[in-house]
Parts: sequence; C-alpha cells; structure tokens
Amino acid sequence: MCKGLVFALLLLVIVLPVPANGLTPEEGLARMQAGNDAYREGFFSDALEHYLAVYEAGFTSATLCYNIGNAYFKLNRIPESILFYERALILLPSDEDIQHNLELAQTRIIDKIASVPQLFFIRWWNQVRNAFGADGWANLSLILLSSFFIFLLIYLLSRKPLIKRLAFWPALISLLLFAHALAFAWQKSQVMQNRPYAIVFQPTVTAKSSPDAGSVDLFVIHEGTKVNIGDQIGDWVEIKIASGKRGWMQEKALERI
Amino acid sequence: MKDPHKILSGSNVWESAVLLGLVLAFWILPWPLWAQEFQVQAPRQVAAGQQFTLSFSINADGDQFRGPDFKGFSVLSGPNPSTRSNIQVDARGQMIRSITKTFTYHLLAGQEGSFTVGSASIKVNGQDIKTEPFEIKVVKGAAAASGGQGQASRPQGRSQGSDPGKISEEDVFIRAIVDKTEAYVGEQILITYRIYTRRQINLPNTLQHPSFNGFWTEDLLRDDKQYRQTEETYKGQRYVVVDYKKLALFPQKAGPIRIDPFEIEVAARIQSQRRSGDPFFDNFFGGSFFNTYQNVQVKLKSNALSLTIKPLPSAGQVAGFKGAVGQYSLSAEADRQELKTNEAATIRYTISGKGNLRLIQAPEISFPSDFEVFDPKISDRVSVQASGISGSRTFEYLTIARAPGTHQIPKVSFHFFDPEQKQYRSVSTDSIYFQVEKGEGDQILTQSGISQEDIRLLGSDIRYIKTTPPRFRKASSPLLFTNTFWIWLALPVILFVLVLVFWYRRMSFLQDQQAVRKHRATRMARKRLKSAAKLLGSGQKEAFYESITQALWGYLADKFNLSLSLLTMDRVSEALSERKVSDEDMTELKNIVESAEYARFAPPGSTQTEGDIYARALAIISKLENQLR
Repeated sequence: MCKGLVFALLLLVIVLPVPANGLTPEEGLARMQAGNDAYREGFFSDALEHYLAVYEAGFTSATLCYNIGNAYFKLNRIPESILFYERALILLPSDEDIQHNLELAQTRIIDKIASVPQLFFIRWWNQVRNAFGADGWANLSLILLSSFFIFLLIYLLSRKPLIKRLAFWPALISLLLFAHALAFAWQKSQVMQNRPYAIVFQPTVTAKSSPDAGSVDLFVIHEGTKVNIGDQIGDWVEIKIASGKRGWMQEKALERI
Repeated sequence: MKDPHKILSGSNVWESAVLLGLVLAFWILPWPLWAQEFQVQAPRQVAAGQQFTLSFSINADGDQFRGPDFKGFSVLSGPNPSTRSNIQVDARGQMIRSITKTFTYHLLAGQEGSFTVGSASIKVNGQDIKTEPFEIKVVKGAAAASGGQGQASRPQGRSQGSDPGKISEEDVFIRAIVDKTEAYVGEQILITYRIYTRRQINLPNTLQHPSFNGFWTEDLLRDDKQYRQTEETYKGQRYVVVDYKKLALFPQKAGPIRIDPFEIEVAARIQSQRRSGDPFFDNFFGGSFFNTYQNVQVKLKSNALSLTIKPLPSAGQVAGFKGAVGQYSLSAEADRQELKTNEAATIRYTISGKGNLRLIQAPEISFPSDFEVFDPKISDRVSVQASGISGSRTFEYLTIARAPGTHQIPKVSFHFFDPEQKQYRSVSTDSIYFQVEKGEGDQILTQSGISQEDIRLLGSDIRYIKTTPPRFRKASSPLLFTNTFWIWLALPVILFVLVLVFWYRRMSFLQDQQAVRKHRATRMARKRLKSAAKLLGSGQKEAFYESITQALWGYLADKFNLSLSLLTMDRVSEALSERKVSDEDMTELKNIVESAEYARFAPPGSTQTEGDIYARALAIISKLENQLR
C-alpha cells in the first residue's frame, strides 16, 4: 500500500506536463524543427523567430539556447549570441560545441578582459564542477544515494567478512560523493535561480564608483561583456568584471544570463 | 609702408631705437585697435519676389553676433557663419594672422517699397561693434530680358495665354515626371524633366540642379545630346515636349525624401511689340507677315517631388544578400577546366539583368584552397536606355592551380531583392570542376613525404546548430529540491528500510525455526532411540538399525540446521570440527554410523551387537549434546 502511494505520486510528478503558454511540447518541437530547416537554408532571421517563439513559450533546453545563439551570431548580433551561449552552458556546461562557439563569439566583442589567473586546484575543482549542470548533479546525487544504500545493504546483510569489507568502502565513498554532488547541484541551482551573471547590452557603459550618476567614472565596458552582479540598490547594480574590478551601473544596460 | 631698412641705414643708434620702437609698438598696440571693419554687403535694389544674399563680415574674431530685423523681407536661411583665416609671413618674418568672419543671410524680397535693415552687432574683445542701418529698395518684380529691352513678366497675363508678345506659364513650363513615388531602397526610379512649350525655344541653361541627396544617380541621356521633340497633349493643350533630363535614381536610404525643383532658363522667342504709339503702323504690320521676334529669357521651375523610400523587408533576407535590387541572372564560365599545376585559369561570373548594376558586389565564391586567386577584374557592360539601366557586370577571377587533383568551385549563389515580386530571390550557378594534373618539373611539397604541412585553417566559424530534438524543461527551474527530486531521494531510503525490515523479519523467523529444531533435536533423537529400543530383541534387525541411523542423522541435521538429503559424513565432520568437538567423539560417531549401516545388512544373530550399538548411540548423543550446547 505504501509503495503504491509512492509510485502514484512519482507518476504524477513525472507525467505532469511542462506548463507553457500557448505551445504544447509537440508544437515546440515542430517550431524548433522549422527553425532548424530555416537555418539550414540560410534564413537566419526566420530561424531565430521560430526558436524565440519556443523559448518565449517557456521551454528551455541547452540545444534550443545554443541554436538561438548561433542564429544571433549569424545575424551579427554578438551580445545576444553570447547571452544565449551562456544560458546554454548553464544547462549543459560540458558541451564542447557551446564552449567553442562562445569563445568565438567572445573574440568579436570590444572588451578583452583578462581574467584573474586561478590556482591549478581551483581550476580543476571548477572543471569538475562544470562537468554537469544543475540537473546533472542532482540526478547524479540521486544515483549516488541509491548506490550508497545498495552497498550499505550488502554490508549489513552479508555474512562473509570479505564481502562486508568490499562493500564498506564503496558505501562510504558513495556517501561522500553524494554530499559533493548535492552541494554542486545546489550551487548550480542557485546560479539558475538567482542569475548572478549578466551580459552588457548597451554599446558603451561607464562603471561608476557608487550607485549615482554623478559619481566618479571608474572604467568603461562595452556590449557583450560578461559581468557578475552583486548588490542591487534601486536601478543600480554592483558589477564585477572578470579582471576583478568592481563598479556600479544601471541594471537596464544588462541582460541577466 | 616704407621699407625700414632704407630709413635706418644711417646710424646704428637710429636703427636700434626705431627697431625697439617698432617692437614695442608691435606688442603694446592691442590687436583690436587694428582697424576692425564690420561691413555689410547687400544689394541696394532688389526685385519683388527675388531671392538675394546679404552678408555681414568682420575682419576679427568676434562672437555673439546679433543680426538685424529684416522687416519687409523673409529670411530663407541664415545667419550662416563662415570663417576664413589667413596667415601670412611678412618680410620681417612676423606672422600676420587675419581672420574674416562672415554671416550670410538668404533673403526673399516681399512687397515693393523701401525697407530699412537695422544694425547688426558683434562682440570683439568685449566690445560691441555695430553696423550702420541701411536701406534696400524693392522694386516691381521683373525678369531681366536679354538685349536690354523688353521685359517678359512671368506671373501676369494668365488669362491671355497665347498673347504672342508675352510668355505665360502655360506657354513654356517644365515638369518633373516620376515613374513611381514609392520604391524600395535600391529600386530604380526614373525621373524625367520634360519641357512643354508652345513657343520656339532654344537650348536651355541649367540654373539649379536638384541635389539628389540619398540617391545614386545615373544620367540616362548622357550621350544623347540631341533633344528629340515629340508632341503631347497636356491639360487639353497640345505642346511640343522635350525630355531635357532623364535620370535613373537608386535610393540609398529609407524614409521620405524630397527632391527640390529643377530650375532652368530658356530663351523663348516672342513677337516683339513695338510700343511706338503709332496705331496705324501697328495695325498695318500687326499681321503675321512682318512680325519681328526677339528672344526673352524665361526662368522655369519644375515641381518638387516627394518620394517615399521603403526599407527592404527583413523577412526572408538571406545571409549572402548584399543590397542588389532588381531582376538578375547569374552565369559562370571557366576558360579551361583541364590544366596543369601552376597554370592559370580564368573564371568569369556574370550578373546580368536590370537594376542597380553598378552597385553590385561580387557574390561569395569559395575557391578551392589549393587555388591561388587574384582580386577580380570587374567590367561592366551597362546599357543606359530610356527605360532604365540594364546590362551585365562581370567579375573575372584569375586563378592558378597549385596542387593536382580534382578541384571544385561549389555552386555560387547570388541573392537579390526583386521589387516587382516584393521578395528576395536567388540565382545560382552549377559547380565548376577542374581537373588539375601535375605539371612537369613541378615540385609539390604535399607529396614529398618529408615535410608535412600543417592543416591550414581557412577560416573560423561557429559550429553548426544541434538538430537532435531536445527535451524541454521549464525555464530557470532546477530539479534540485523539487517534488520530483524529493520523491527520487526518498525512494532509495524507503526501499532500503523495507529491505532491511523484510530481511530481519525473515532472519528472525529462520532463527526461531532453527532454535526450535535445535531444541527438538535431542528429544527427537531420544524418541527414535526409544522406538529402536522397542525393536531391540524383537528380531527386526533391519528396522532397528534403520531407526538408530535415522536418530543419529536426524539429530545432526537438526543440530546444524541442514536438510537430511544434504547430509554426508564429510559435512558432518566439518561442522563438528567447527564446533570444537573432540576427534575421539567424531571417530566414535563415525564408527557407530558405519557399524549400524554395516550391521543392517549383516547376517542375523548378533543381538549382542545390537544392544552395544544402542548404548553407544545413546552415549554419543548425550556427549555431543553436552559439547554442542
């Protein structure tokens, strides 16, 4: 009885359709296909229109964002293409095509901000963290939890000391990895929900020393540059660029990733 | 100015004193004291309705210019400031800088009369300088006639259209005719300036040519200086018409565009009217026979045009579109397709059709990377006809094959906007294949095997879109901590607990059974032994031994929780040695079992053995019972 209830709940959650205004998932896929066809024919603005219709209906996927980025790139709208490549990368950080196109798009913008070099183990750590997106880590954490319990059962129920010993370490490692995966999933979800990164959309923006138009000009950034958003006061946000410099600018010049 | 050297050649004292004086004078005399002239340049007399210019100029750097009131005139434009500066080096090596600032007005004289223009003021070094007021007389509007005599007035005499002595607006005029007032950017617009006349006129002079700002223009009558006369009926009147100018305009930007009037001057032939005051003479010679003629200069002004230029639609615009508008076809041709390495081939791409041919850019051609390609030679064969521009533009590429093999120039597409169909169209050529053979004596690096070439990067582009249908998800809603996640998280925990509970239940049940069986073992053994004791001496030897064996095996099976069928002597001894049962007892057990089995099938008569075996079985069971507890 208990199991039946769980399965019923599970089915409900899984089968529950993605609510989208105006488009069913099938229609979304059809529009997407139409966009792909238009892109192949070279009608990039038509392709973009199809893709954006799907995107604005509330559907997201790394593929969709990537294709939108490509269409924008072909129309020479680089800031938009960077924005969508970044969005695609949040969903699928390990994808090589997305990384390649993002890097290429970043060579077409004005600002070339050298990022602060990181220690090798921090770089490794970030690489590991970027192996999956938020959902990837969440799924992995669930798999790891399951494997922990399986090994725990083997450990608890086995009579043979050798098998007990063989099951103990995997169980422990699974538990540790589960904790890490959960932490990564949480971090990635925070990025997805709070959207702390943004792309500059105004051709030229002057970063100010305080949230006030009359304050001292600190530096100038141009469209297409990625910034990290910190505090927010009214229309003003504190931004941090890759080189570590901080300044204030108006939020309307930005588009959150 | 006298030359100082001549005066100062007398003595050194003089020389230095005067020099000093000059230098002092140069520095002490402030610049503004140098004659500043604030002047007006204006005609004393203008005709009513005439446009004229009026300018104020000052030979110093002034500012805060304040213009006068122009009562009786309307200001068409102004003040338009302009500055002219001039730096001269005089004989002494001094630099003399002179500045002239001019403020120009374009004015239109209104009514007749005489009007006073007030004074204009300007500030130079903090000092206001003013002009004197002056007077301009506006006289009756008239166009100057050639030959000094007679004035042909334009606007009057509307009713007396064909008065031979006067030229009216209906007699001679110029019209701007346009074939469409709405066009796309790049679409050809034909504009014709046509002179309508009922008089004899001679070749016109252009006074003001409209500036076709925002257009690329092509003169369609450029080579055709013979004006062809035709006849045309306009507003019910027959006219001789001449197309004075015909242009093809190609708009370069979208939006409403106004084309200013075209102004020309023609000399029209009119009958001279002698105002001799002699009616007889006039009447007598007033017929057609003795008329004398004279030429009168008439200014003609065409209508202004306003055009609406629409931007090219963005829908359906392809990436390779480069602004070509019209109707075109594309052909490709190579002079040779079989060649040897380091030989040249010429490939021609010809775009022919109607439209803004001269603005067409070369289509994108991806030559094989092993071909060396030179910049194309562009040649036009444009025929300018009255109907517009048509013809062809040829891009001629000289290429040199550098490596043998079969090379291909993929199909080339040319995209253009067809304003008639209001859509983008493309034409393309077939691919061109080249068979390149190795030329004699050529060394080809790629085949030498010694030096390998790096892969040449021909360009960089983004990777292609992903075409596998995606799995959609809701935007910005990670799986973490959603209901789905919690359920999937709870599932292994629940399963784990369930398995554990189930397992322990089963285990305890089994253990209970085992304990019962163990507990029962001695009792069962005694029971069997008792039944064996009953058989003892009854002569049923076989049954006796069987129950002895059964009692022993059953006891062991119960004790070690094993099924009887699995029980062998080896397993029993293994299990017994595990439980630290002494070897003595094990051997004893083995002996009893063996002798019982043996005695079962032995010939009858040895009852003594039966009793002995019974006692030994009883003893070993109680012994084992003690050790296995």
